[in-house]
Formats: sequence, C-alpha cells, structure tokens
Amino acid sequence: MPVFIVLTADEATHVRGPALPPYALEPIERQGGVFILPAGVLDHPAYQMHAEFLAALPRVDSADPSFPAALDPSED
Amino acid sequence: MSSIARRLGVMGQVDADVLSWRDTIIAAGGSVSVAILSIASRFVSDEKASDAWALTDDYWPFWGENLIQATVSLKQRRTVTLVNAPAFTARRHFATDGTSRYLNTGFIPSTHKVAASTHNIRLAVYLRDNLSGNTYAAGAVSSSNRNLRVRPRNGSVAYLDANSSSGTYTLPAATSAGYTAGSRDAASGASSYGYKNGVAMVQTVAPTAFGSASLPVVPVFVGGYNNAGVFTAPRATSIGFMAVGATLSAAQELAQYNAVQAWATAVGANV
Repeated sequence: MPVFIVLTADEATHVRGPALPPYALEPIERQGGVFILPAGVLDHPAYQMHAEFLAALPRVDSADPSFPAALDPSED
Repeated sequence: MSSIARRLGVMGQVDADVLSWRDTIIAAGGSVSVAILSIASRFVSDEKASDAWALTDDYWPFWGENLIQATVSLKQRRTVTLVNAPAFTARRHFATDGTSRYLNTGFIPSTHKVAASTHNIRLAVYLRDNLSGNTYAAGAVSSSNRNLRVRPRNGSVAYLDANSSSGTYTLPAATSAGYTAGSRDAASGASSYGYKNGVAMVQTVAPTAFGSASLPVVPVFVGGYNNAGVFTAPRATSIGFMAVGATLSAAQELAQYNAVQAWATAVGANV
C-alpha cells in the first residue's frame, strides 16, 4: 500500500508552495490536525529543495491502522 | 521532397491556434512533434467545423507526448500545476492516487469563462479507467450551489453538477471510462444534460438548486474537486483530456466526442 509522510501544521506550512515548475507541494489535512504527503515526493527531482527536511519526518503505510483518516471519512 | 520540405508542408496546414499552443509549450521548455501538430490541428479544425470551438473555453490534452506539453491547455494556454506529483504517462494520461496527488488547472470558471456564463456551463472529462465510487474526476465548488463537478460513476449512474446541485444520469454501460460531459443552459432540471461518449444519457434525478451569483470562484482541480480551496473527494483515476465551456448541442456533443476520440486513438490513449 502507498506510504505517506506525516506532517504537523507547522511542517506543512514550511513545505507548502511552488516547487520546480510545474510542480507544487500542498500537504493534505487529515483528522487529528495532521497533514500527509505521498512518500514518492522524496525521490522526485521537483521537490529536492525539501527532500532532506521531509526525509526526517515520520512515515506511515496507508494500510496501517494509525494512518490518519480523511477529514470527511466518506471520501476514503 | 526533403524531410524539411515535407515538414514545412505539414506546418502550412497547422491551425494558427495550434501554433500558438506549440509556441507556449516551447517557451516553457517542452516540445511538440510534427505528428502532434497535425493531430491537434485536425482536432481544432473539427471543433471549428462544428462550432464547438467557439463554445468551449479551454481544453486540456493531458495525453501529451511530454510533460510540459501535457500541462499547457490548448485554447487559453494556461499551465497546470502538478500538486504532490501525480504520475504522468506520455501519450496516455495523468494518474491521481485518490488521496493526495492532483492537478490544479488554474482555470477559475467565474474569471476565465468566455463562452460560458452563470446559467450556461459545461464540464467534460475523458477517463481511461473504470472506478465506481463517491469520488470526483474534476471540479470546483463555491458556496450557494456553485458546483461544477463530474462524478463519472457511482454504481450505474453519473452525478453531474453544472453550477447546480447534482443531477444523476444513467450510464449506457456501467463504466467510468470514456468521455463524460455535464452541462446546463438555463436554471432548470429540464435544461440540464448529461452525455457519455457523445450520446445523451437519461436523466434520473434532476438538479433542483442552481448557482445564480456566478460560476465557481476557485480553480478547477483534477483528481478530486476544489471545495472553496480544499482538495476534496479525491479519486484514483487516469485522465486523458478535459474541456470546459458553454453547453453544446446534441450534434456538437457527438462531434466533440468524435474529435476527442480521434486524438485519443492517434496517440494510443483511446478507451
């Protein structure tokens, strides 16, 4: 199953915004006040300016029971 | 005839709007092959012949032969922003993941409309996969029923919002794959329409509430919808093409589907 990086609100603010054109990072808010990004951005050349910062953050598999639910669970 | 002469011969038949699209792509660091110039020019020619070109405000050929080409819209030549790295497959589609990866077209219906208007709007998407669920291929939503969205399949129906509450339409076959369009040209359920692959679908539930202040005031997202700035109801989907504009007639719907399918077939993205 896909793996996601888990961010706090402050960490999400730190990385949110344009990356190498035409890419951008926009962490997705989930329940519990946390945000997620797909772990695939770590290896993506468009996001290398944030790679070191993001690599240090926790990750969770979407199949793990601890994976934070969507704000609206009907969307999962 | 030399290769260069042959190329110039082809170039001489390229539509001026396609050349402008090409120039925007090249300026952004991409490229457009002679073959794609010919295919796109045929598409635009077909659209102009049916008068659908004048009624459609923008087109997104996501099945571009390279990433930059796939992110530049055909008519208004806007650049799509790729949010959280949706996967791109050349000559096929962008794939979103149903959780976090999506596209921001930058097209704000209320601001960037030309032919469309508050009570005359259409959104069409060409999907390459079949998925049933309460998820959206594309859309933008603002308050007071300003909903412009396509939910291409939930069970046996499509949910289509044309600056309105949802109307539901029976799919001719239970699949989201293909070209799905929702539109309306007045503030009534009877003036709301759903088409699949150029053929009108039977309306099962008519929309009852209509946006009247304006069209949505936020950009259209792809792979979910933009709910007043929040990425919502994400869908894991493979999208090859999208169009936004005013309502098309039945004949124009069929003509546009045929033109879209011809482009899809030419690049190998047809379903």
